[in-house]
Amino acid sequence: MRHLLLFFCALFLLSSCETEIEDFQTQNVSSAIVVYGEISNVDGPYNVRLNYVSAYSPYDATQFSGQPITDANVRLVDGNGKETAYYEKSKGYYLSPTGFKGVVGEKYKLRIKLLDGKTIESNFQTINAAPELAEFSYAFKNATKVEDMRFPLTASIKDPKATEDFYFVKRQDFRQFLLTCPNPPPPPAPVPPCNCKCWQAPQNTQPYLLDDFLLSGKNLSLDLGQLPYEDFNDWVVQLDVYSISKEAHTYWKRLEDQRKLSGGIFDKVPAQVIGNLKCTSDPTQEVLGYFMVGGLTQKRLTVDRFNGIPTEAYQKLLFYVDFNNVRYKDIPLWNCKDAAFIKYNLGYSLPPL
Amino acid sequence: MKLSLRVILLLLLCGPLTFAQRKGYVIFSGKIVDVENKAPIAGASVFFSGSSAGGTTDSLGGFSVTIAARNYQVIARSLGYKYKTFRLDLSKNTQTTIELERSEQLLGEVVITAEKADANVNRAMMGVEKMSSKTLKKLPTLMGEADVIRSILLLPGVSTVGEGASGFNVRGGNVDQNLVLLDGVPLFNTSHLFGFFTGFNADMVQDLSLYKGGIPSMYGGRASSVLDVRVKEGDFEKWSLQGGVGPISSRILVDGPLVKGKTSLIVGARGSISDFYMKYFPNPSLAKSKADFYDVNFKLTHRFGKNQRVSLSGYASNDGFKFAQDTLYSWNTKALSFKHNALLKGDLSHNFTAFYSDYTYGIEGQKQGLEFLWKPSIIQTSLKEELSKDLGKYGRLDAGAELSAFTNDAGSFLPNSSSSKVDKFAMSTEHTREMAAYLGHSLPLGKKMSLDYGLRYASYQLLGPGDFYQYKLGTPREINTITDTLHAASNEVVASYGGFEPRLSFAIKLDTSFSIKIGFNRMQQFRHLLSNTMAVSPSDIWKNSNQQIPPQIADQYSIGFFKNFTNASNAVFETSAEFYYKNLNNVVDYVDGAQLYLNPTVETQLLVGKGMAYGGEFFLKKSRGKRLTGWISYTYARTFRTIQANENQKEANFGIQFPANFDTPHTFKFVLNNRWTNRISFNANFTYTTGRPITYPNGRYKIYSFNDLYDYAVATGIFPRPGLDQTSYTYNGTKYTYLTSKEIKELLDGYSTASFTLRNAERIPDYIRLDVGITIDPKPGKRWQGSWNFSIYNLLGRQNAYSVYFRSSTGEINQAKTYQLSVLGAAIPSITYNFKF
Repeated sequence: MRHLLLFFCALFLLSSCETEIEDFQTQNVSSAIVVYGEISNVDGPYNVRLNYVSAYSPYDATQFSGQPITDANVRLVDGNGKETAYYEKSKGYYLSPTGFKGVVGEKYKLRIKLLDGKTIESNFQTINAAPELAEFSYAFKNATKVEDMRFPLTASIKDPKATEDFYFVKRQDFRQFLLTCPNPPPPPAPVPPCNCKCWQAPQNTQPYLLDDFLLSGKNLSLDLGQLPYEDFNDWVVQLDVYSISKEAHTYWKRLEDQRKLSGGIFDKVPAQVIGNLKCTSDPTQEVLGYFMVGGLTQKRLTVDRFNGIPTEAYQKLLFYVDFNNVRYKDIPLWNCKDAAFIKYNLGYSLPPL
Repeated sequence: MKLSLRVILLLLLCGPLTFAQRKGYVIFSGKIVDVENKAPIAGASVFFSGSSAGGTTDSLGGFSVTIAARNYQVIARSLGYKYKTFRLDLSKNTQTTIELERSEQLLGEVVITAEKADANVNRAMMGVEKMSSKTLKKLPTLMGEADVIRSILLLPGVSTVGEGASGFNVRGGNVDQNLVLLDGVPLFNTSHLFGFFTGFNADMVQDLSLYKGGIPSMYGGRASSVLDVRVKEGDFEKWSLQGGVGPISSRILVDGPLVKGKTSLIVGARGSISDFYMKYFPNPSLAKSKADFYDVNFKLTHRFGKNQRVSLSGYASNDGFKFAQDTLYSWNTKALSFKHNALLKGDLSHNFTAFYSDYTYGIEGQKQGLEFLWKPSIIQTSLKEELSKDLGKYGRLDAGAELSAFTNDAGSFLPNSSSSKVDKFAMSTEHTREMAAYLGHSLPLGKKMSLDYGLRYASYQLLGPGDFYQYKLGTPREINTITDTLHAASNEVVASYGGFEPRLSFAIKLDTSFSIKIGFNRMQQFRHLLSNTMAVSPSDIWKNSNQQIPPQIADQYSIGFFKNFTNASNAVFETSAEFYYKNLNNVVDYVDGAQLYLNPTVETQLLVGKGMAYGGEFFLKKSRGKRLTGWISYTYARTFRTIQANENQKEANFGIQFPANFDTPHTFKFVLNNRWTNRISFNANFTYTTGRPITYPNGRYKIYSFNDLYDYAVATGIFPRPGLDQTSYTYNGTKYTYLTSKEIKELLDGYSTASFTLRNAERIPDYIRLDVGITIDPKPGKRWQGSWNFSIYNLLGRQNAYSVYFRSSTGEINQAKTYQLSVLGAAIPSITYNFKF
């Protein structure tokens, strides 16, 4: 409903409708425990993170993560009662043993015992069959200006007809970047090797939530938008598509609704979103977060931004790259892996799928 | 139930027969009419010096008063007219016609007036506010629109969730608990532009009465209040045309005789013009947006002789709102009503109404490939017969019966183009029937006391055909606790509710200008607006009571103290202090994250609980004065809801009582009308309200669902690793960039979300607003009467908070931010020109 607000701002000729309150602080009066973990039919290890809620102070980076909860006993229980113990890899970060893998059709729940004796359990949920991607492709959209040239992405999930299905999709982009090599030293010094092509993988925490309500059996399209044409090297888009329960879908939907509040006239009244975990030993202990169980399909699409581009567009790009200093020509670097000024610089290779 | 209906009918028939004329008394009867067009004036009052007797005219302008035979100074008055006083010898039964002159051009007019300067003290009822169309137009406006609902928000005990929110809240009741009658036809949506303006044209309004308490037995169907808006009749003598041009809309109104003295017609229309300038906005989304509205009213009246007339009225209102060609919201009302009034005998009048109304709302999706249409509606057809008998010394007896049929279509979701790939999703259409009968008696008890009492019986039936779900008892209702589906046949009763609604008002006068009143009223409501947003939206659906959702019942107890003062220059000051306590049973609430749209089992999303409201309203009004009139009010009011778990539902807010969204404890309102000259008057109103309740976060947390890459990088040693960062310095105006060593590592960051505390535990900042306006009335005696209204809404330019909210972004940088939203956060000037000839 943000657009509604914008509309009324215009209608009533106002300069500013929304003001940021920069000094808003809350004391952390919540002692809630946050648990989040996932299990799927794709090779692990699977992780569970345990921590406390932090105070609501928007600009304090040290407050970003709540205090981790250490030394907990974290176990995964399947439908037959078989337990798999997780180990604590680092503070509050627990991993399933190597080689353990979820099975489609099997149900799982999480059982946690904290150091202080509190026990937390999730409900049983089943790994549904992994969803299929009906299409995952790209095209090139030419334009007069390089800034307007785009690679529109198309992706859709093939929804089975008979069942009521819910999907949760994570997207991870990997952008190949080029840096400029320094001028080689004059002979007779040997020319040092120059590695100027690396991968950057900006973090993205925006889920896509889909359901087949009124669209059962059809291809459910994902609105992935368009990639820019700022250089001619590859761009890889990875989609992790989970088939999840209605309950998990509702949980994420409520979080998304609340995260995107515009304070407008038709906003829902915010409320605590409780997931599928509860403290079985102490009902007054609030537990937030979710243990998500779902079939997973992972797929990558490599967008080739070099081959098949019209020559004219390519020539314009070369000029654009030079003019906009896309390749950091002022600070030549022998090895792109060392570039700390590129956020989420992964180095030469992509993580394995 | 059948037995009780019979009892009522018996009462209706026998009631009038139990009284007869007494010795030494005479009957003074007649009509009160407009001096110019001889139109009868309904609701006018007749009073007598030295007597507490008095009468009010019915819809035909007729009155009848039984009074001790002697000489009297008679006073006749009505809203919008100059009062008239004359001496009369009443030694025998007398009939007369009293003509009143309109008070348009007079100095010393009233801002809000009751029937008589001291009527607030005299009548038994309390919690009633009346306003004339003239008062309405004198108040400062938003964007030049004289507006009914904005005006009643200036009265004590009336509040709103925020600027631009649809509807209003009366004494702690929800928006859907107000019965808004436009010439007797209930409206299901009273808004244009989502709630910024009222859905009907203020030019068409004759007057309005707001019953906050002491609701007479003739009204029913909603739990909290009644806003009875009477529409004007056309002039029986001459044609006239009036209109106005404002920045938001333009209006026109034509009225006059079709047959002189016998048949009159009035037609009013209003339409928005915002679309015209919207396309010039530089923002492409805004340029493609639409915000249309219009409303049309007409009323055709025909007189048969002196004592009988019929009228046919129509009302159509439409709103369409579209933002950037995606989704079109629309809502419209169409209503047609027929009325027959007659004075059957000297003191018995009847009023028959039949009406049909259709409220259709919904959304049209226009996204390519996903075009859809969703249009729920409510159709009401009603027959109503009202009888009123003047019992002279024994007051007035009102009785009536009402029969209504409702068709409530929950709106099927339909593909709206051949290329649309959405499936059809059928929702049910529910049929209900409501019957009500009432009896009310206004009884003077000697000179000092008066009593208004009444009883209404309302019965409700939810009928087939349709499928109705039965849920397992003893567990909270959920879709998987459905035990059975009842396939009801046509007209089969699926659920029925009914009950008596007693109404009582009692006044005792301690002296001529001081009275104490007590009152009680019970109201039932069988239809509920489902809205879990801050303010109600035009796409919110109405739900009938069914086996799971009982009717809402409100009981209100009140006590009031009324005292009037008159100063040396004859200015009248009315003061009052009213206190009320309201008990709301079966209020509807929602499970967290309730899915209310396209849900055939919507009762699984609803919770039933209790509400309560209490408060005190302190009022000082200068109702009569040469130049200055107005009022000041202070209200202390609280309203709470409690939704506890029981065998059929979970609780909300852990079962702990929480303030309703519109709970604003302290409200101070000030309205002033200062007449500078005969033609120019200055108006101002000021409102201070405690900020409404809001749910604040008590913390923040991250959900680590998007950290596979981070975990991989840490596990493989990619983070942290040594690296080089660029640094620069400037020397002699030249920037030098070089590389320095820096560790490459990233922050573990997750999906950021807020942890919330108890519902409505905090408040947004207080609300303060001052509006001013100047009205220039037309020159008297001229054929073309042009008037101007200059207003500044929110003169202080204060950015009143509509809400405070918390938003986190997703992506690379995951920050939580806090924002304040002001809907109308600047001073908004406007000019309106109105004409009449």
